[in-house]
Amino acid sequence: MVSFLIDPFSLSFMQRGLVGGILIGMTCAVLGAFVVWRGMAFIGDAMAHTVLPGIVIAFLNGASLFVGALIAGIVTAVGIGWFSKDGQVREDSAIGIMFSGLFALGIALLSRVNSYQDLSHILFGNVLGVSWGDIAAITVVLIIVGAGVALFYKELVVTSFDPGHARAIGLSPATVRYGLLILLALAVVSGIQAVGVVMVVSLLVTPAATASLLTKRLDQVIVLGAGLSVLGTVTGLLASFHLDIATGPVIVLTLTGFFILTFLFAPKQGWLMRLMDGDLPRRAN
Amino acid sequence: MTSLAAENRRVWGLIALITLLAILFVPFSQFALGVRYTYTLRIVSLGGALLGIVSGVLGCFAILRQQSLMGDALSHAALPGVGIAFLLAGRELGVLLIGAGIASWLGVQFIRAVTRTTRIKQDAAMGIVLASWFAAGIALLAYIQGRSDASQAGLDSFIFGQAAAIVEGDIQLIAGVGLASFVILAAFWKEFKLITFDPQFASANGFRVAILDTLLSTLIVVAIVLGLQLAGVILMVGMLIAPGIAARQWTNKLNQMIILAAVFGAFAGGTGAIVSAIDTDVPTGPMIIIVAFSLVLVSIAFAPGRGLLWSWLRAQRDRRRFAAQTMLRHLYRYATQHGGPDAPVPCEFVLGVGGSAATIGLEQLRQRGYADGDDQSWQLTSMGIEAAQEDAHNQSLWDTYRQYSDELNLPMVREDRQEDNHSLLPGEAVQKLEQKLEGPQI
Repeated sequence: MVSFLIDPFSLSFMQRGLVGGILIGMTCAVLGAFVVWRGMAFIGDAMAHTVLPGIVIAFLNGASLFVGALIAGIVTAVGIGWFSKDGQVREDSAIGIMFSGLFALGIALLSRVNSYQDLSHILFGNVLGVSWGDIAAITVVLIIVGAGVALFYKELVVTSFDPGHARAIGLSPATVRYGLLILLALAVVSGIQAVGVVMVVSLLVTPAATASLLTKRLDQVIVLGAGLSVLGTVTGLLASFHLDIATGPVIVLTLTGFFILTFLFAPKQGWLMRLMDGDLPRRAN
Repeated sequence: MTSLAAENRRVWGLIALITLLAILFVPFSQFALGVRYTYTLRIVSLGGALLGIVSGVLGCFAILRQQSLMGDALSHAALPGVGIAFLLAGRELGVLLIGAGIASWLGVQFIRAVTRTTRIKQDAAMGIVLASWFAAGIALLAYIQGRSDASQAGLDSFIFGQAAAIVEGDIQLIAGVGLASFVILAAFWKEFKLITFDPQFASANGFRVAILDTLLSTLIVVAIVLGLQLAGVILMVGMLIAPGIAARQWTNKLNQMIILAAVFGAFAGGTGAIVSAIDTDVPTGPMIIIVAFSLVLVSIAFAPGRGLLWSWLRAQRDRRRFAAQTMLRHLYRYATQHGGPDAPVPCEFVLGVGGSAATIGLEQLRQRGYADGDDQSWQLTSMGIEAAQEDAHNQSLWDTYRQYSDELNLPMVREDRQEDNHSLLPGEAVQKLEQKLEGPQI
C-alpha cells in the first residue's frame, strides 16, 4: 500500500509533475474563489482558449511563449469588454465569439507550424512534461497571485460583494476587476501546462465551488479550495500513473469526484441532508 | 416610417447579396483557385452549408435567450456520449449523435440540480460540467484508440471536426433532422418568439412555458449535436452563435435575423468546408469558425445603424452639421444685439464661443454663402440672415410644441431640434403651432 503511494514519486518526471501540479493547483484555486463568487468562470475559460494564438505567434517569432500567452490573455479581457461595451453584443455572446474565433485562429496558425503534434499538450496538458525551469516560472506566478490577493484582499472582497459601497469609499470596481483579470491570465497560463486549455476552467472553478458548499466565509473557501486542489492533484497523478491514462483528464475527474461527493453528502448544503430534512426545492425551472 | 422601410430593403438586399456571393463562390473557386468539385468535395460543401443553416437558425434563439455559454458547455459535454455510443454500437453516425445528445442532456440535468439546490451560480456549474464531461470523453477516446479495432478511425474528428468524414448518408440525416426542426420551429413560431422575448407575459397568459422551453432547448441541442462532426465539440459554440451575432447587427426583426443567420451560416459552413478540403492541414471546424468570426467582425464594424464605422461617421457628421448651425445662431444673436442682423461680428467673439468646431462651422457657412469674413470680423449675408431667421422661427415652433403638444392634440414625435419641424410633423400640426405662436396668447 505504501509503495503504491510512494514508489511512483521515485521517478524524476513524477517528482516534477507533483511539485508543478501542486503549485499550479494552488494558484488556480486561490483565484478560483473570486472567479466563483463573481461569476467569472467563462471569462477564465475564454482566456485559456485565446492564449493559443498568442503562444503560436510568440513561437513563430521566437519570443517567450509565456509573454505571448499573457498578452493574448489581456487582449481577451479587454476585447470582451469592448465587444459588449455599448450593448452591441451581450457579454455571454461576446465571450463565446471571442474565444471560439481566436482559438480557431490559433489552431489554423498552429497547423502551419511543423511541430503540429505539440497541439495535444496544449489542449490536454501534460504536467509530467514540466521542467524545473517551468516550475520556477510557476512559482513566480504563485507568488504574484498570492501577494496580489493578500495585499488587495479587502478591495477584492468589497468590490465582489458590494460595488456600490466600494465606489462610495473611493475604490474603482473597474480597476480592481482589471487587476483580477491580469492575475487570472497569469493563473490560466500556468494552469494550461497541467490540464490544457479546455479543462483549465475546472482547476479554477471546481475546488472553489466544492469549498463553497462547505463554508460561507471567503477566506475559508480560499484555503479549503487550495487544499482540495492539492489533494486532487496528488490523487490524480497517482491514479493516472497506475491506470496509465493521461494526467490532465484524471486530475479534472478527481476534482469533479470531490465536488459530487460534497454535493451529495455535505453537512448543511448537501443533497442527502436536505432530502432527509425534506428541504429540497421543488420549483420548476 | 421611411427609414424603417429603407432598413427593411437594406436587409433583404444584404440577404440577396450574401446568397449571390455564396453561389458565385463555387465557379470562382473552380476557375481562380483551381478547385475541382469531386464527389467528396460536393458532399462536404453541401454538408457544411446545410449544417451552417441549421445551427445558424437555432443559434439565434440561443443568443437571444442568453444561452450562448450553455451551448458551449453542452457541446463539450457531448464528447463522452460519442465514446460510449461507439463502444456499444460501433461507428454509426446516427447512434453516435444520439449518444452525444444523451450525454449533453445529462450535463444539463447536473447543471440544473446544482444551481437549484446550492448557492453555486450557473456559470460555475457549467464550467464544472464542461471540463469534467470533456475529460471523461478524452479518457474514453484514449481508451478506444488503445484497442486494436480498425473502425475507430476518425472518432477524434469529433474534437475539432473533420468535414472529410461526412458521407452521403450523413447528408440525408442532416437534411432530414434539420427539416424536421424547421417544421417544429414554424409550427411554434409565435410561442417561441413569445417565450424568448417575454417569458413572464407568456406564462401569465396561459402558455405552457416549461414545455415550450424544453422543446426549444431540445432543438438547440439537436443543432449542436448535428454540427459536432463538422465543427468539433470545442468550437461548436462558434458555429452556433457566430451567424446569429453577425445577423443581429443588421436588423432588429427576428424573422430577418433568422434568415440572415441561415445565409451567413451556409456561407461560413460551405466555404470553410471547401477551403479545409483543399488544404487538409487545416481542420474543418477552425476554418469554418474563422470565416464566421470574420463575418461577425465585418458586421460589427460596418453594419448600418449599429456598426462602429456608422457610429463614427454619424458622430463626425453631427459635429459638422451642428457646427454650422451653432455658428449661425451665435453670429445672428451677436449681430442683432450690436446694430442689426448684418452688423460685423468680431473674430475674438466668434472663435471664443465656437470652441474647436468654430473654424469648421465658419468654413461651412462661407461655402453655403451664409456668411463671409476674415481674421478680423465675420458678417452674415442676406441669405445667412434669412436662414438664421428661419432657424429661430423653427426653434420657437419646437418650444411651442414642447409646451402645448398635449393641449393642441398633436402627434408624438421625437423632438429633434436640429431638424426642421415641418419634416417631422404633419402639415396641419405645424399650422396649429404657427397659429399658437402668432395668435393671441391666452
